[in-house]
Amino acid sequence: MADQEHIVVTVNGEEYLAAPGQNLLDLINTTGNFVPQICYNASLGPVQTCDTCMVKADGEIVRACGTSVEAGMEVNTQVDPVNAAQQEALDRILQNHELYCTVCDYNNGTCEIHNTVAEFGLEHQSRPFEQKPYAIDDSSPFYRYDPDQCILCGRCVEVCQDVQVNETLLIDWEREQPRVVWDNDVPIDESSCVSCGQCVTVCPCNALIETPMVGEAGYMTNHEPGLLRSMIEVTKKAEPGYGPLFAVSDTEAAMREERIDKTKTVCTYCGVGCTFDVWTKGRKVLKVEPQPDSPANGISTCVKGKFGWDYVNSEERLRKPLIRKGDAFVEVEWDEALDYTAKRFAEIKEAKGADSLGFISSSKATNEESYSMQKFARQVIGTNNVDNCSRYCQSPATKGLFRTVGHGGDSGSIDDIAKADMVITIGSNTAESHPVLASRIKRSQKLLGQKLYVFDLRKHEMGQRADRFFQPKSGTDLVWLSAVTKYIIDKGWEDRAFIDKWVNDFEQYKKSLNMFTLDYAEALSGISEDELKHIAEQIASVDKLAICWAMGVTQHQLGSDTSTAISNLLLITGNYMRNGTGAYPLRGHNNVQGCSDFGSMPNFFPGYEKVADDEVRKRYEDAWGVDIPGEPGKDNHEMIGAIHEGELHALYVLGEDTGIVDANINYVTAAFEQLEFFVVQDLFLTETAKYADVILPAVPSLEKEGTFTNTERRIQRLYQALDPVGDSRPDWEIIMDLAARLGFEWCYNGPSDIMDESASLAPLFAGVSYDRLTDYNSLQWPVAADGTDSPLLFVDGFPFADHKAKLYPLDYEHVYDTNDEYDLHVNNGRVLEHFHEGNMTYKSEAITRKMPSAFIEVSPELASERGINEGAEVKLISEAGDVTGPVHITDRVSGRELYLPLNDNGKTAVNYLTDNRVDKDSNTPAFKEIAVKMEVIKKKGKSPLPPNNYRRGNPQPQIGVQPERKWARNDYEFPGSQVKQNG
Amino acid sequence: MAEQISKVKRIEVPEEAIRTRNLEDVATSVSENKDAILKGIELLESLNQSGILDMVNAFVKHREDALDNIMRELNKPEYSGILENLTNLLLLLGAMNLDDLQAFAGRLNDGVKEAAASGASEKTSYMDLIKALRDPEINRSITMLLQFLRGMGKD
Repeated sequence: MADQEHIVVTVNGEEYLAAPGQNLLDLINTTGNFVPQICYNASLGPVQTCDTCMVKADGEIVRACGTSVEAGMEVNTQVDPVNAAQQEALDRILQNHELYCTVCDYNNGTCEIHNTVAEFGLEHQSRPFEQKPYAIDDSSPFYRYDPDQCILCGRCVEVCQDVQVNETLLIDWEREQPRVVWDNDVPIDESSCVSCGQCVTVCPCNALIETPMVGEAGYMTNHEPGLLRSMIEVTKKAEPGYGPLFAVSDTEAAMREERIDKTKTVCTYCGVGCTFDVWTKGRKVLKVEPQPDSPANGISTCVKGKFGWDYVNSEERLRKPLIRKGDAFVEVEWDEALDYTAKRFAEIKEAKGADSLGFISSSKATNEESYSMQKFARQVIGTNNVDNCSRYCQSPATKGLFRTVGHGGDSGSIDDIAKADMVITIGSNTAESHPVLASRIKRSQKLLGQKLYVFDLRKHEMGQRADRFFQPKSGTDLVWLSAVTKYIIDKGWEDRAFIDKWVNDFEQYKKSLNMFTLDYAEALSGISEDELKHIAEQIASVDKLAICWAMGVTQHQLGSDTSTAISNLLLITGNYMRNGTGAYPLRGHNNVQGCSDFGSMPNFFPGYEKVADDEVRKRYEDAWGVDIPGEPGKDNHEMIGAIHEGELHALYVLGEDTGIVDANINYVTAAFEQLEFFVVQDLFLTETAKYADVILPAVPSLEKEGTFTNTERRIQRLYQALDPVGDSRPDWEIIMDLAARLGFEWCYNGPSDIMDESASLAPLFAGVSYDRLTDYNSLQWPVAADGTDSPLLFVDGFPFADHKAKLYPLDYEHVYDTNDEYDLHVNNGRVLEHFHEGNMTYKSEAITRKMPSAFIEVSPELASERGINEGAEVKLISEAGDVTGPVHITDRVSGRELYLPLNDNGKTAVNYLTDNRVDKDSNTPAFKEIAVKMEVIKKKGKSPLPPNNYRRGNPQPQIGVQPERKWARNDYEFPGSQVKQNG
Repeated sequence: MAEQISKVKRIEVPEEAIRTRNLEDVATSVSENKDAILKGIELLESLNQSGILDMVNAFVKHREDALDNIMRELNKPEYSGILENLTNLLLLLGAMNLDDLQAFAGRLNDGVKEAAASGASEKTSYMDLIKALRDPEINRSITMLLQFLRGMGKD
């Protein structure tokens, strides 16, 4: 039957096999025939605006990119009228774009206009370039638009409307001189643009360019505007034919390679794991260029990944080790710092035992560094007191998945989320926390009919876009999830075949659902019975369901149980083991997945093998030549408690501002004060570091090699782009040197040696090696010894003895609520612009200009009740502490709910409010359960949200760039027809 | 008991130490690249003696002014012809068949030599011209010129 799946198409007399409906240009591009094409981009599909890909198909001149192949189609790309039509289209483009390549910052070998004109062999243009009546828009601090260079191909519009789906850019085709406009024609800076930079990435020329590139990329581009203009004029006079012009500019482009380095790296912000080339000139980051073969993100980025790298060159970077002496930190040389640290560790271990020391790894550091840290704790010190910051976010999700399906990771890839018929997000502000992943959902919903159901307290962007948006009462997701599951079973809509084959404990689980009746769920969650029924019907009716969740689920006292309830629902409905289905706990940090994967957990060796398992422990004991305690150690939360109780005396914290990001920071910092010895390894003198005895200067991702693992379980390599600043060093090197001083010579020559050791010990990573991870290659664990990886996590069942998943019965007790005194609920989370406590993103002047400070979101109802206006200053008081901050009034929040971005390390830091309550199963702080009272300090003031913040913009949704409107213009003539007339 | 502090005392590296370290770095590099450095010095010396070094130095320091002047000048209308001619001339060179031209030019040179040597100022009559056609050298020249005219006149 294979023959029927292909049709035969003749191109320039030769026969080719094509898939039915295949795009004709796509097919031609596989044949080796050259057809000019400027607006076409494999990542965007046909845009149909540039008219250069004219070919003759079955006698008619058509746009190849706008034509689907048909059986027996005769295509010619070379005959005279075709060439003339192509040339006419190129002429029109050059009327819109001045070729002054040698003095253009985009002359880096990738300008698609330059390359197309050169390959086509066009020597002269028949019409002169015409300036347009618009000034350059350089209002944005991130990128600029030059209408004079813009060819109106509309790629930027396509990507903004249909890939990023921010719906800011459009082309106003109807005005006399069309141009790209932002929102309703406002300067870029004042629009709804989120500065993801994707329009700049896809722009084929220099019309849209990253601001740091301007005047920096070329050898002759950094001149005064007037001088640059006269150079452009001379360039044009001296090079009237394009041949000589290209000879000179190509040479200049080649010379640029000498001083601009392009290094592949992995983003260091959220867990999506975007990869891209970072362009550096000296220490300057010129731009970030995502690649079509970037596995997780393709050509996409968000503002932080594309533009948020200033922290790397911050003057505040630590350059030398510091030792506390009296009332100051004193810079010392490495030998002194390491000798002293090793000596103190040894003394404390000697005097008070190995378990009196604790180690906290970083989700910002690499897999190899997580491995090194846990090895240091277990081998060198002899304790399992090692944990990482996933304790603050994702441990409950991991727990819920371990209970039910046996692996703590996303069931599939981001592609699977995009492919689902229905996506449910619960407690996830996806568009701001995982922007690039959110765009995939937004695109599928906008263009491919995917249903999006959003459950959240707050009506954030995803809530506004959702097909249905529900606001369950805080902490009641378990209830509605279980009620919906029960209703599905009661109606007999469960996936019987899947359950029989792959799932255990159905009856027992079914019994446990008895309490979750619809009216009980309505009473607790506030979602009506009818709505619950509708949700159940919708879930049961779709073939492929993916559920994404984040901190809104996990940071509750029932975080693990709620995660379990999600997995139960997916099992009941057969939404595992297939593409387009599954459970997706969206990991928050670049390496929050990998940090746990590689063993920085008190109860697990790398690859989630229990320390209590004698056989496993023996494997590590043999490899490392020591005895390792079989008792799990203390997690982060228990370590802080143990300090207060006088059981833990030394702490080594790597890349984590624990004193800001842990809950109840008054309690945490009080613990730091009691430590006998405290080592912090970081880029900056963080709030946490200020309590340390020794501060060791580490390096950011751009200054080292290693691997990160994203939310898809995808292991990706980062390459070193810059030299370390000052005397700072990669974490793994520092840890290795400390180990050596304590008698353990690890002798790693580089991170690849660490990965090899880890792969040899942890079966989950058996086939992981740097050779299999070169450039944009990646591996999704589990990775078999032969290098076979697992894009789909569950293929042959689940990792239990009988390969069957388990339904896990749950109970529910409502544990958190506001009360008469503490009458407001504080929700907290991320904003798009900033990250975590802000140590990195506030170093970017451009980002800070867009969002200068944290703020407190208040609903219009509450604002009027309390008589406060935009910009008011309020104090929020919880049982644990208080914060003050400026008020932003918005209907994203409703009623008596407040929202506080977590990105502040000053008096607005949310963790002054949080307390010691934790998820009962994972000790993850219940960050999301804070009841407060509000005191008004000032009734109004300056809005904390500046006028140039994207939230104040006016998006203009439409599908694509709408070339039909171009074709409908009176002055438009199809180049094919024009050629016919002239000919 | 460690209270939160944020004062940092930097290591004051004495200037002398920085100087010494820098000099050591330079000395190492010089020693590793002895030949290149010596040749470089020789080049510098020639440039200096000829005064070019001073000129280049001044030019680099004033490059924005210089470039501005040159660009302003080149942008004047009278230069646009030159710039275009330069390029056109380049294109013309590319179009010419230099092998043939070389043969032609060789003969032209011989002719010039002969003409310069003759020095005679006698008038040539019509009959002289006819007679001259019998001279094989003159006949070859005339034939070649006629061929040239035929080629040039081709449509």
